Amino acid sequence: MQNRNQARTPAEFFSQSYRLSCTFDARHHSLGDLLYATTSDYLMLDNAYISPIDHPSHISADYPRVVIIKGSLTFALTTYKDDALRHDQKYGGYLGTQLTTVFITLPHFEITGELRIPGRFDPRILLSSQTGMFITLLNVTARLTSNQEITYHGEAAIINKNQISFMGLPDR
Amino acid sequence: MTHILIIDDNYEMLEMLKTILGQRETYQISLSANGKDGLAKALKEHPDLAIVDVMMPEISGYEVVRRLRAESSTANMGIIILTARGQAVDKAAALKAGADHYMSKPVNAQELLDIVDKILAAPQSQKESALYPVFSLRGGIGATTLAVNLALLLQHLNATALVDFSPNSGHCASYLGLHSKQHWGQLIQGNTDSTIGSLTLKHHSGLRLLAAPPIPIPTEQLTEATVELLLTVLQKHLRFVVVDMPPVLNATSILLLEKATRVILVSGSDSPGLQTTLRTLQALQKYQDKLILVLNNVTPGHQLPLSTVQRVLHIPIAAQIPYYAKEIDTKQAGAPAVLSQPKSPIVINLQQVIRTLLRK
Repeated sequence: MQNRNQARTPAEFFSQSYRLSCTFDARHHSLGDLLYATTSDYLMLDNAYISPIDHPSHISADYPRVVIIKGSLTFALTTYKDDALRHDQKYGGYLGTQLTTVFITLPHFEITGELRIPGRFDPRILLSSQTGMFITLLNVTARLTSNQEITYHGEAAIINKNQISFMGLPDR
Repeated sequence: MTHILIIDDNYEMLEMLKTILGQRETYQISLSANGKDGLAKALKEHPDLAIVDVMMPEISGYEVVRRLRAESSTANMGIIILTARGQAVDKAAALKAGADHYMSKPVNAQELLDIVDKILAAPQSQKESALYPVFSLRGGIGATTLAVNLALLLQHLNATALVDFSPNSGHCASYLGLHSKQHWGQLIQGNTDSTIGSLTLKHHSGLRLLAAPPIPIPTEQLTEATVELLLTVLQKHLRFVVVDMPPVLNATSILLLEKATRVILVSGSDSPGLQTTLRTLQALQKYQDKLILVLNNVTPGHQLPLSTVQRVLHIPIAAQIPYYAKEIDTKQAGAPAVLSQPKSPIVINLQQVIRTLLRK
């Protein structure tokens, strides 16, 4: 009997053309810790099931292990926010900060969610390349641009800032 | 004992589900670690319920469910899809594949037990077995041929039975190349029990045939109670039941019309045929909403134009099947047109009838 999953945490990953459902070992690091880490440009994941983005329930391929190039990722989605938040976002000064609802467009997706950031919200700082490759949104709905009936929900999403084309913001 | 099969490639998940379901002492649990093995086990053991993971190597859970639903022996078993893919699109895909219920991981033990209980308690009839009698008050216009081919086409979609309710040694068995060793007459004579295996013949297409007695019997012996019993047995196990009705309007015919999902009324398109159909429509006015009219030309030569027929009958015509000389060969060979001449006019037109039947 195969023993592929090893009680790992599931997550959804989206690139420009594909949906990838897989698991990662969350015993020591959350998905946020792994993606934000600047020591590696890629991520090793297990039990990958690949679907075309416009036919998301069709499993076109599966592999016991896959490598994801962080830079080519559009966003990652988790059911529970604790699986996505970095260690410092869970336990540090991240708590008690303000929530700002934002709208983001990515290749093939439009995303609505909440940014939870400390201090005054300044998109220029948030989107600056000096502040890392990703941003984290909470209570996320991602909608496929070409088929608005296909939506994904999760408590958290980690978004590749380089893939963002527009960001809709609330009034100042 | 209620037999539950769990198919999941995750060893811990198999063990956990076994522990949860093991709380019910009446459940016998089987485990399978991949889709291919799980499918084989289900087809061999015929469990009452299967819990199927989606993301498995080689054969996905969706494919397992589709194949189980396509086999008559497992078409009506309970199926729960349990997956880590927990999005709305995944739920829709699970139900479209044929699952009774969808659950996302992680599993809530009480929720799982409640759903299993609910599915096992649901009567099979809730799975909407459809009853389609094929009827005409005029004999010799090809109603049996249409019923046989219609049943074979429906069998392509899901588990189907064809019932030959002719008391005068019906012809469905010979059209299918079968010998009517088993028939409903045996139930009347008390020579068999009322199980699907002992009553029906299985055609190589998977179609189940409840044949007519080879020797004619008095019509009154086929009582309403017998018809009710036979339909209950068939509809419990099969998604579609097609009935080749005798060309009479008696108590059992009325019962079949009452219970029908839709009625395929077969008419000739010559003048005497239309006259019979016109009178039949008057007699069946109560069932007007269920009727689907099919014109079947069983003789060569000039036929009335469709617009004229439509004007006379005042009812939409689902299909007009032209005369097809080679049709007689299919009967003699025991190989109906659906199997031996799939591009023939009868098959193409019956596919149109099926689209009408399945339209909500």
